[in-house]
Amino acid sequence: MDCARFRDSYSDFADGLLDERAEIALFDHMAECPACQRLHAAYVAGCGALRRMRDLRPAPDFGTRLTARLRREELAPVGAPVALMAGLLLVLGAAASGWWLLGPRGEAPVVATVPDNAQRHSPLVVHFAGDSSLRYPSHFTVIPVSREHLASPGQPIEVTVDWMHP
Amino acid sequence: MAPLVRERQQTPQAPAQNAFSGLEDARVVQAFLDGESRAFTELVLRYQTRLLNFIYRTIGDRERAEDLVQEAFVRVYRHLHRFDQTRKFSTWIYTIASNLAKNELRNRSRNPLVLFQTIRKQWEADHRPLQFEDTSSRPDDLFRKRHLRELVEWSVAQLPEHHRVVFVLRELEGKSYEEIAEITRCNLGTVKSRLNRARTSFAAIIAPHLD
Repeated sequence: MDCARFRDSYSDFADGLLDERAEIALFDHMAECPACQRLHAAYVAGCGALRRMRDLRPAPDFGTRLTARLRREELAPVGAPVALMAGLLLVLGAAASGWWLLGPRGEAPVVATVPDNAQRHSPLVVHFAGDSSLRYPSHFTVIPVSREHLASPGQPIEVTVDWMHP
Repeated sequence: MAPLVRERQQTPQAPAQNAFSGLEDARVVQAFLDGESRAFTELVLRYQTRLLNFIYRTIGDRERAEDLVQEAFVRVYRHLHRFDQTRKFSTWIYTIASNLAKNELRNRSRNPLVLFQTIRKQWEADHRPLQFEDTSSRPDDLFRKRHLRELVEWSVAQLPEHHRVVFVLRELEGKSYEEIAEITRCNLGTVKSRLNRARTSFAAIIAPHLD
């Protein structure tokens, strides 16, 4: 046996998978080859030290943190793609802020009229006029560009429009 | 509301242990799928330390390893209903952990900031005063033990990632070749050749330092 053969069969030797004849050949080679002897000694010492190393233990709050994460998992809809979730949150947020910013408030209610030729996802001008309610086609979500528009009811404002599928 | 996951140290007689401790993984998994939430606690108790050590030996960052173990359990919790119960649960959870560790190493190699933070954490650990380590040993023993531990960890870390995973699974986790093949999604021949390369490389790396 030469050093290359020794190295090729070393893993089987370490796992005790060599037959008796091959194992004797390997020991014979080691007896006359200091380099392979040294390699074997290093493997035994290194792996021994590795196995004797104390196991790391999880931090004391590991279970608490995991429980908190799993609680959040239970609350989150399983299987919903992240993009869909983000999109849903965005739409809900936009609708809520639109209602908060443009909804009827006290003495200055407004009416928004969305032109019939409105394009999907394109900015358009919405004309406000004094009225008791905010009206726009039900398939649009109206998002004001800034809060300043609230201070000028009855004035044209620019809004972004998102298409809501019926 | 009772916590889903109990700390073993805090509740050594936790009900989950009494109810499930003698059962095979497959029975515990089935109990969880049947609606027994405490069965999940048992799975966490069985695997948290093993996964932490496996991931730590693979990526070399303790804090991050713990985050990844948490992530592994979250994935198990979320996908256990899809787990093929003809397979071994331990192989499945190690596959998840192994993939997380591989992704971490891949991301790290692409992100210099993460690499820097890892090096910094390692530096801080290396320079921790000896007296905080173990009060029952003499300083020279402590130094020798720490030196050997660092040497062994360093030698493992020198192995290429695909060799290191196989090496840790075999030498530390005691997995069979077949299990390693399933966890790493390699064929048996590849596992054997990688393990042989990893073992002889490890020995060659550490040998000059042991003389």
